[in-house]
Amino acid sequence: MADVDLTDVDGLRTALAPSASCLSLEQLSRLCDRDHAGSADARAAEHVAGCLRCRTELALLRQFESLALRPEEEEDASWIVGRLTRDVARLTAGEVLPPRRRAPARAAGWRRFVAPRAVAGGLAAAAAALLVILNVPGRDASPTLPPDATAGPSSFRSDAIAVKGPAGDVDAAPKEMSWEPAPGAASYSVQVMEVDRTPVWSGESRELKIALPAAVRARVVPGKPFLWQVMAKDAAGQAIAASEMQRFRLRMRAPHPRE
Amino acid sequence: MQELFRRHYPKVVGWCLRFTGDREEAYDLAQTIFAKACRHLDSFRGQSKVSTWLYSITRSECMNHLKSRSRHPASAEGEDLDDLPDRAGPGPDQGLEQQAWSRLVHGLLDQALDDTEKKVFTLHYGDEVPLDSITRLLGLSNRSGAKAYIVSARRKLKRAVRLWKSRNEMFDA
Repeated sequence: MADVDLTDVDGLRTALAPSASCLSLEQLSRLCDRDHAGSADARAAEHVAGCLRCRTELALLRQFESLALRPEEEEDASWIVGRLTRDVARLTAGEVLPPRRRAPARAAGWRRFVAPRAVAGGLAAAAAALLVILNVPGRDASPTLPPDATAGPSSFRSDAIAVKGPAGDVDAAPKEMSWEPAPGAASYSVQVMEVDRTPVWSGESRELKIALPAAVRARVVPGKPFLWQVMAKDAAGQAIAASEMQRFRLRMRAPHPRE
Repeated sequence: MQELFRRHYPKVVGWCLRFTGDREEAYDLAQTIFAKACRHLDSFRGQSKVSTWLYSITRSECMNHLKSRSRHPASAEGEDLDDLPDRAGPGPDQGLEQQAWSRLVHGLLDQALDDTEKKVFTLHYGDEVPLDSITRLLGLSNRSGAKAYIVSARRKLKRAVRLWKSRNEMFDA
């Protein structure tokens, strides 16, 4: 009988590749959801029990279905979700997203197309792109909470809707959320969430601010972070732009004096 | 459509972050996934859940992403298997039918490895997923992550292969 050579990586890959009898993701998903009373499902379950590949696929699918962001992923995820919201709004509106350019240099990625509104309006494209690249933190720059919006700069960087606040560590439970206008917006929808995206409160406004109800403010206790996002809608109620996901929390202790 | 997708952003984004380990790459990947989902929304037949449909796109794009990065475990991490026996032995194309070879490998892995080792081994050698991505995707919290599972899998497989060979020799004799 032939020998076994498990150092043959290509051979291993061949052995571990899906076979014709392996289940599709749809079938695996059904196995996740149902009892296996049906004969087809029973056959599928039997196959999975004896198939390493399908068992791994099933485990990954379950992992995906139950995925909850880890605390250390929240900042990056918020950053990405803010951009995705804007991207999907554009796609829904029939826009074609600019082509992504992958380059070895970290700063030369897709974000070169993303210019802050204040810059995009006033400068030549090349200068704007350069500024964007220079302003974007490098790979190792860990995301940090922006400073208190109520006392700091008048607006935060956002690709579609610039948010005034609250953002970052705040000294008091915010009384209102505010933002800069989005072109073509007839109204704005605001959602406040727990960090795991559980909705806390949502509201609609035709102004560039919305008051936070007292009941919601009462939930803003020191050290507990919240997320919020504003979405602009046109006259037909279609979303046309969104802010990045914002995060704020009430400081745990008295703030240091500003330098 | 935005509301439909919004509910699934955390899953897809979390997956992309774990797969790439990099915010920019994860964003590129997530953007590609949702652009594709928008384009192919008509193809969603409702036979599976939206999350399963999105997962199938996510999985496929993650694999495309790997190909584009041209990371190959055989060259990058092939030393993991160097001290296994039978290096000079004939490969599956020379000795065994592909199906028989596949059954044998599955049998040895199933018999010798624990559940996590099986997943790590299958993802790394079957799908060429880098070890650091596997560590994050499976949430492995041990110090060396997936690499430790490959090392222990290798050790166990070595024993299993030795046992399999001695049984074969007895049978042949």
